[in-house]
This record gives sequence, C-alpha cells and structure tokens, in this order.
Amino acid sequence: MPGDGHRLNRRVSMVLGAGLAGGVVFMLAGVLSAVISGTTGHRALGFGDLRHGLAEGDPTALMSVGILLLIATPAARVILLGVAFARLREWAFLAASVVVLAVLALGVILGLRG
Amino acid sequence: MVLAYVLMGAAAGMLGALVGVGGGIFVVPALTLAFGIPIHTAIAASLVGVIGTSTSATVGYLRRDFSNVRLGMILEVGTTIGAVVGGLIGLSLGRQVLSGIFGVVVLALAISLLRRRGQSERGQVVGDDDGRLGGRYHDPNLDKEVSYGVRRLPLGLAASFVAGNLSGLLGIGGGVIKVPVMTIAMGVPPKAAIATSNLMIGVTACASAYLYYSRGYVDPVVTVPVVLGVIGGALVGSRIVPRVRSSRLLVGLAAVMLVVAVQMLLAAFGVSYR
Repeated sequence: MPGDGHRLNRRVSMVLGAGLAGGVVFMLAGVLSAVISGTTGHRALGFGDLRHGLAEGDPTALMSVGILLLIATPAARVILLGVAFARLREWAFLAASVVVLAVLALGVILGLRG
Repeated sequence: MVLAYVLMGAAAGMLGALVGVGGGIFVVPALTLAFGIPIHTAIAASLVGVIGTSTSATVGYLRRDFSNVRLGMILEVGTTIGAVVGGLIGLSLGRQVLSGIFGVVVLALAISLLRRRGQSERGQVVGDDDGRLGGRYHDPNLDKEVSYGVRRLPLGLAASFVAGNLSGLLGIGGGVIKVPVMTIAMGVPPKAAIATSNLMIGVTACASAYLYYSRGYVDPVVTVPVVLGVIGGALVGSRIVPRVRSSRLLVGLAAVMLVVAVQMLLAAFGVSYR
C-alpha cells in the first residue's frame, strides 16, 4: 500500500509539473512576443476572444492561455485523484473529489455571469 | 518595472514555499504598497501566483511523499467552498476595507504562531485515525521514518473553510491558517502540514481565481512577471525545506507576517510610504 501511495504521488506530481510547464511556456512566449511587438493589453482575454487572439499571435492571448493553463492545473489534479480513488474504491475520497470539482465549476459559472 | 515584479515574486515564492503558504501575504502588500497596483488587480495576480507557488512546490513535496493527498482532498471541500464565498465578498469591497481586513487577519495569525512556536517535529504521532487519513514519510532532517495519525477532522474542515474564505477575499493561499491548525490541533507533523497545505492552496486559489479572471481583474503585465518569479522562488524554497528545522520556519513566517500586517493596517488608514 505504501508503494501504491508513492506511485499515486508520482503521477499527481507529473500532472502538476506538466500543467506548470505548459503555463510557463505560454507565458514566456507571450512575454517574448510582447517584447518583439512592443504591445500588450492590461486585461487578460475572455474565453471567447482567446482563439481569435491566438490566431493573430496576440501577446495578451498567449499570456492569457498561460494563466488559464496554470489556473486549470489544480483542477486537473483533482480529476486525476478522483479517478484514482474510484479505481481504489475509496468512495469517501471520490465523493470529496466530486464535491471539490463541483465547487470549482460553480466558481467558473459565477465568474462568467458577472 | 517588469523585472521588479519578477524579483518581488521570486522572494515571495521562496518565502511562501519555506513556510507552507502561497506567498500571497507578501505579494498583495508589495503590489499595492510598493508598486501602487489597485488592490483587486493585486489580489488577482496574487491568486494566480499562489497557484504557481503551490504547484511548483507541490511537485517536489509529492516526490518525497510529504504531501498527504487524502487528507488534502477532504479538507479541500472546506477550502473551495470558502474560496468561492470569499471571492464574491472580496469583489464587492473597497480598497481600504480590504487592506484593513488583511492587516487584522495577518496580525492575529502572526501573534498566534509566535505564541505556539514550541511545536516542532515529532517522530511518531498517534491520532484517532492513523489509517486512511494518516501518512508516512522519510524526514531527512531527523533521518527517520515519520508516521502520524489525524485527529479533530471537523475542526480541520472548519479551519479550511475560513482559510478558503480568506484566500478568495484577500488573494492569499490560506496556509497561514491551515498549517498551524494541522500541526497544533490535528496532530500532523509540520513538514507534512506544510506540504499538504501547499497541495491544497492551488485548488483553493483556483476556485476564486476564475472569478477574478472572468471579471477582468487579471492584468497580464502584472500577473505574468509575478507568476514567473514565484514559480522560480518556490522551486528554490521547496529544496531548502528538508534541511531546515520546522520550528524555525514558523518563527520566520510569524516575523514577516507582523511586518506585513502593520503595513496593511497603515494603508487601511491612508498612510503609505510610496
């Protein structure tokens, strides 16, 4: 069982590391792009404007994606742990994971409603 | 200016990782008091930075098995609900009120930490539950296996709700509440408490970060340099933690918190050294 715990910790660590790396890469790309173009916005782009901004290579869009990736990383960790708890039949911890995800979703919905 | 944000973020990230907080208690005062950034923008930058600190430090803590993912997940129910509630309240309050609340909260926590600094590492802690919620790790400082149980879970959940509330309200990670409660009341050794707090801080900040992002308070020019700084600083801090005695970490945190609290209280009454 300690071995299982260590493996699970390693897996969670890898997911967090990947999300962190992805976020940092986009943020650095945005900073580089802003330095080259000399322009950047002072407000992160909304979800609707991101695709258009990315297609145009907008530095603000790149930085916004990096920020969003970073914000999404802890949520991805909760999903991973939820799946792991389901496989281990640890229902109390699975239920806690589902509640945490539901609250995170509520935060997104309340934010979008303004 | 961007370089100054990066350096400030790096210092906050390192201190945050060392003492198990997200670094927000350093980022918000620095941005508002030293750089004149509007407080809601500072809180938003801090929340994203706190996620960066937490994630960066947790990568290292998980590899050493310091973090307790089961205990963290249960307590996250309290922190996330508190964070969404706190975020909604924080968005409706003004600068001076938020500064005042920030100062009072941090001052109270610093005093509490200083009064209880006798708590230190323990080799074996037996609690009500040493099975599903308990944990085990190798402490390189003590050079032995540390196993522990968890007691007073309802108190931990209540404290987590308050910590989450403050996170959403003030842009801090809430570790300044969770670490003392876990160590003093729940029987979790300081290193495991710091690592588990860091694990939880990311999700806590994530819950309210979406609120601030959607309302347009995330300024990439401020946020990105701060985040890049705190991530680097947290990486350095998490490597130092295994070699430092936990009691010293808590005293260091309390001292910094006292300074921050006084600055924020001065700002609440309109006194600024800018």
